[in-house]
Amino acid sequence: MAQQVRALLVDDDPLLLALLSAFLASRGYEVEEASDGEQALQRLAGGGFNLVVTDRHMPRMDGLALCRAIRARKDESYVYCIMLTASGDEQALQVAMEAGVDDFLAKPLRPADLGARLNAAERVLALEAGLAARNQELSEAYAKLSRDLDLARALQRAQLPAPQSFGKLQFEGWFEASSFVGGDLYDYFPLGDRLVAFYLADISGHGVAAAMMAVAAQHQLRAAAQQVVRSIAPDAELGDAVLEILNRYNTRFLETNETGLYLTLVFGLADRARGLVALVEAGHPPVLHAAPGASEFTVIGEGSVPVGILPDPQWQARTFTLAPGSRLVLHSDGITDCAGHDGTFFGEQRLRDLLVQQRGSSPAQTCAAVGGALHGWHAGSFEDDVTLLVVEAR
Amino acid sequence: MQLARALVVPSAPMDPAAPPPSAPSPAPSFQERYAALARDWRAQLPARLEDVQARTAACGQQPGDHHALEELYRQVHMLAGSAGTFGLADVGDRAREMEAGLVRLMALSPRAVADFEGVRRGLEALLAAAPRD
Repeated sequence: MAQQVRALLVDDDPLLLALLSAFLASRGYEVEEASDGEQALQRLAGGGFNLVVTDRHMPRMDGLALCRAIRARKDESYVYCIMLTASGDEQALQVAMEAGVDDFLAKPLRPADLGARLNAAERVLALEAGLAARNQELSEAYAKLSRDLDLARALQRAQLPAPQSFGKLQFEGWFEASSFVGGDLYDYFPLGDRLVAFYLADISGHGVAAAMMAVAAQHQLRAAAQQVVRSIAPDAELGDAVLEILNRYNTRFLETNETGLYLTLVFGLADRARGLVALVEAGHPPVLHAAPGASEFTVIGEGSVPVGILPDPQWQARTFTLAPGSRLVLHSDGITDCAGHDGTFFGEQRLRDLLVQQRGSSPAQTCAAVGGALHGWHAGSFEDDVTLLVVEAR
Repeated sequence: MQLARALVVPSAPMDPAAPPPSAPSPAPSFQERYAALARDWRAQLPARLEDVQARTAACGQQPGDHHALEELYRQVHMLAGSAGTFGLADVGDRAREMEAGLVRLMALSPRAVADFEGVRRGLEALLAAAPRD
């Protein structure tokens, strides 16, 4: 007997109780006795029992009520219940099974029958004990993993830039991961005195692998941008510079990526001196642009290939003036594809309507409004990472 | 261990001149314990049958006393459950037949004295099946 059995015998017949007790003790069980269901429940409250052998008919609380009470207990380890019954009472067996009885033993009792029933009980209890041990291991592993992921999430959030202004350009972002860590990211950083780079990226999938790739993407995109800006002529076209950054990053991505993941991206370079912005959209939802005084947002971007798919993706750069009072909004598809309680997506039009409403608000207020609207749209955690980046020219 | 408690046997009256107790004897086997319990059960059987007989008579005189009928049922049920276990299968069978008669009787409402006739016959059969020794 690998599993230690602690049995509670319940019968109002003292001699039957003594007989059962002797038999179970002869198998090495630890045995206690009760004369009815109420007394049995009091003993069970002390914990530690994994087997109950009970008569059905007893005063005060019968065996059926006892088994129902045992099954109604929460957060207790499994108790295997054997009920002593009159033989041939099929209806009684059905009722007893519904009450939570695992097995039956017909009276008159025969040691061979009882031994066979107890062998079955021991098998189940051994499986139960193994399962409980495995669940404990899994719980501990999950708790450790959760702690690690919480830390990773905090680290990932710490990588995102704080709201910042570069001259007359103001940047504000909002990000929420669908699980502990996510595969969306945004960034903005100065490149010398004149240029500011900004982007929003969405790694395919989400979770740990996507989050790790997001961290790598942030490092590599910054490095590529700095290399390109150092190497280009001061009067180089802004669009050419953005394309060079993206192509370098794409080449490096293809050389080093063995995960099968890819990413969509909008990358921009802003020339603060000339008030120009050049954007490259790589398979990402289009950028929304509102000109000064305009209430509507227009779409920039016509669809293209994500990063990490083709060695020569033939991206196009769009260069335009970002006049004071205009606003750019970059977002991940986690926002537009966010499903409501009836499965309806939040959608681009709803986002655009919301952005129009927020046209007079600050970028921070706009981010908060979009976040609030999405949380109102979708109860609970999001199914995909959601990210928003607002660029305001003052 | 519960078994140790169950195996305590009544000791002889204390004798100051008796020698000191020797080492405890080995615990009896299950078969030995079973035989002892069966002897106890058989020794108790006459008293239990007398109790059932008295309760049956009382219930027959007050057929509406459901509580008394339930207690009679419980006593007969215990006999039915244990008799076969302790080697008196015939007593167990008769007790089970009487138990079934009581179940039918308890389902009647109202109950008349005449309704007890089947239970009385069951009791007679039970008494007849009991050993005479």
